[in-house]
Amino acid sequence: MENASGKSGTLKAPAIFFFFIGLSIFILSTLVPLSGRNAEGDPGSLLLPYMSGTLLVGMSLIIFYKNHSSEVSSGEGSSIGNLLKPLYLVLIPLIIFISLFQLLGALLSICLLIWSYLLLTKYTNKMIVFLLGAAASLFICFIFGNVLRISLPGGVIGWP
Amino acid sequence: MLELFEVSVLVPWFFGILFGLFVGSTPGLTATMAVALVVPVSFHISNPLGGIAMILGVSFTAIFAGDLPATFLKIPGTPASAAATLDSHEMHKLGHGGKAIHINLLCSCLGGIIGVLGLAFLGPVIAKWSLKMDSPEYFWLAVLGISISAIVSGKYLLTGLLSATFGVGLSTIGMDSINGAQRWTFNIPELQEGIQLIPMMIGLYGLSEILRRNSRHQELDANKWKEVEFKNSISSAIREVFNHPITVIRSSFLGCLIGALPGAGADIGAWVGYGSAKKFSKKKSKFGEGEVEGVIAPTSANNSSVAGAWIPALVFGIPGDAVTAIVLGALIMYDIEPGPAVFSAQEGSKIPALLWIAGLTQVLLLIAGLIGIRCFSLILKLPSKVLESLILVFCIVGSYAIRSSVFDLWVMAIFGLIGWFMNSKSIPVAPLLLGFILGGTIEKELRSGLISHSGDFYPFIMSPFFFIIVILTVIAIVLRRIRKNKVTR
Repeated sequence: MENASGKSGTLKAPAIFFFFIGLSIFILSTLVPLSGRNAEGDPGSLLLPYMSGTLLVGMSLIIFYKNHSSEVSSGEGSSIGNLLKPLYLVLIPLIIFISLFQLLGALLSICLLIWSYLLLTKYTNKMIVFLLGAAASLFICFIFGNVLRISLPGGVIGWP
Repeated sequence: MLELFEVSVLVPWFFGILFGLFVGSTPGLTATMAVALVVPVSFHISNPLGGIAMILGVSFTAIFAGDLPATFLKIPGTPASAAATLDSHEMHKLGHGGKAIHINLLCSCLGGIIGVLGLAFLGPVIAKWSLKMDSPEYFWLAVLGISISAIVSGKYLLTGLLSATFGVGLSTIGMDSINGAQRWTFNIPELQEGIQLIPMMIGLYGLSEILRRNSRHQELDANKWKEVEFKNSISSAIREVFNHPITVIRSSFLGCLIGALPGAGADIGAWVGYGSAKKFSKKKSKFGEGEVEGVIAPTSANNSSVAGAWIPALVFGIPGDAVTAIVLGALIMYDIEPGPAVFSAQEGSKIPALLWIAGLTQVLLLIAGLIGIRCFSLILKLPSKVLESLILVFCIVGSYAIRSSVFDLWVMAIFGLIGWFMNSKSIPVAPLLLGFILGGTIEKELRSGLISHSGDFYPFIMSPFFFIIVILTVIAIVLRRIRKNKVTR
């Protein structure tokens, strides 16, 4: 189950987030021309987007309003440190990995991802870091590429 | 029946079960993929019963195997394990991981057996009833599925509904199934088929978990998830299961029933089983915090759904889900012709053997599952950071494997971020997933129903399902309010 903190103060940010998501869906539904009804009685392709956009905006406003009136200070996960740490430890290496995945190939990029993740998280045993990266990437490429016949990018090495 | 114990049947049967365990426990590789991979291999087996046993072995065990990473890593191996993740992972965090996974295994076997019995005895009746359903009934069934998910997840009803609505909105991306119009594809070819469920699910559950574990406050319990206590776990799991026989039977029956509805499937069956267990439980407030019934219900329901899905598949040739569609195609090649007369006694009919194989697979699953649990738990002995790096890689390969697309890796990364954000802000993720899965059904059935009734919504309101959903929703909201008042006092 999700870790509901029970503090209404923490719901302000998601209310704003979902408000803008709902608003974007609503505006897009208005701006993007779609071939609408193809049969008598068909409400058209935009029915569900309109409905979900409107509901998201409405519910976000209710949550925001309730939250605003409750005057409870925000809880866990709101400090800058908590927000930034997962971003630079996981997300930035992951974005670099995805960008280089096809160019370098699965074997090299998986190996580099494991190394970078373990080094960034300050894993102490450098030998294990090196061996694990090499062994895990080889094993995964062999199982997925050769045994299960799932197409993985070969990249500069050309395997799997 | 004796011919089932020949070597030419037993070897491929056990291979299928082990293969199902491996693929199902790998996040991103679905039961559908496992069955699809094994069907071509099965045709090379000399004994046709061996081929059938192999296919059935994979389809049943892959669903249980999905519970392994769901329990230990909070990553559902298959979509059918998403509901089981809620409580079984919480049990693991509380130090009862061994007990949780053995409950999973026992309930998967019991659910599977009850599902097979349902298939054998209730099959024709249920299939006939489900055939009478029209668009309004399917529409309300999908709405009910989302409502249950929104009500049972999280502490706030509104946040559950918000999450579900977001999921429904996301389901509208891609080609409109009614008139083929492109919605929000922005000329990106990969978006024409819509957002893929698997990368989205891996991001929401897998990557978001890695992100969460790297946030400061999670370092405190970083070591908890690698320790699995197996001492007395089998005996205590057996005790727990036998202490809740009604939950097992009710969830299995519901799972079988949901599985029999075309388009539903093990994932929806598991959610409905979980929702019903929570509704009837004396410990409603404990659900989501490691409640045993929250493990028993979805794991019983998802495996019985697999057997349930065969009811319309065998009797009318309508598969309940993607896995059954592939199995049905293979069975036709094994000279099992679906139709109303499929259960009638005919000389040379393979149906009795098929039912025996399905039933006995549950017993074999018990043996293979015990081995699989021990093997999987060894992985957890690895240091947390090493394990996290490996999970990250599996998330990537699993997302990429679906259609060999780098675009799906971006989808996984974006939904990982969204899942992490939602988790940290008390917004439940599960309704988003169900809203996304059922959004397509809601739209298709609503519009098809309106087209066939010339835009008249009256048949929807007059559907008996409408009254059922209104009554169930009102009851759920009232019970929620009463419980909240009790907690406040």
